[in-house]
Amino acid sequence: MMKKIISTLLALSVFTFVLQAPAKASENETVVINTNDFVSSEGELNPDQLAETKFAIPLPFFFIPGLGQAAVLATGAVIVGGMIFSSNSWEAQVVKHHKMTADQFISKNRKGSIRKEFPSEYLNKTIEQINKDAKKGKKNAKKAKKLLTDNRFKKK
Amino acid sequence: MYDIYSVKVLFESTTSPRLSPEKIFEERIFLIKTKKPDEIESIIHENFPEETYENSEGGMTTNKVVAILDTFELVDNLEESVHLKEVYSRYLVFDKETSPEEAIERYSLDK
Repeated sequence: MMKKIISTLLALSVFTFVLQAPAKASENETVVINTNDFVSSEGELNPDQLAETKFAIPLPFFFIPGLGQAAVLATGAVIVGGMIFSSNSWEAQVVKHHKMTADQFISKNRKGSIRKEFPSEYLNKTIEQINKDAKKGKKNAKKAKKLLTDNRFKKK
Repeated sequence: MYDIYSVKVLFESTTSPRLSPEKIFEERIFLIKTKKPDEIESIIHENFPEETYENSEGGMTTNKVVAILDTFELVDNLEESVHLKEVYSRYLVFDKETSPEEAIERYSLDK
């Protein structure tokens, strides 16, 4: 009974932390959730029990190829691989716009001058595809990703 | 024993045809592992030759190295982990009292 109460309180504190952390994170800063931080001083909950409390967090996770399980928070920040990324981060853009092509993304979010630098072969590729290719080390995909993440090209 | 250097390099971007007056440069910092720091410049030029590709305006864009802006020898050891390791440092020295805002403005540190 006591363990259930502690487990519920712990789940609430994790959920509160998840909601508050993005507001504290500055641009491109990441916040890591370390479950060990939530172990009670009495040591009554082990990591397995802590893992169980994750199911108490009502976040709609979904799968994005090349990125993994992701969820969008109400603040616009995202959770990917257990880490929270601010709403301005590249990870947040990938999660929120992964089906959008670079052309659509640029028209909506970036200055026109980016197009004179942006490689044409990636203009009609999705953000998801650019992210996958950049991770594989493809030169023009890395250039495309750099351009899309550089806030100097962001529309004001 | 190799030493590791952070090398700040300026790339110039040239587009053809030139449809608008904007000009783009790119500043990149590379980590270079070498026994001979006097060869850093040639390492940069050998590994980053001029390259041309088709841009999204339908023209061609050429990127080339135009300057090596700074070189910094790492003081931290990257062997074990890269977490919180310093990869670049430079001192900004003024001959009179200067506020952080003035320093940022003078060196365009936030641009």
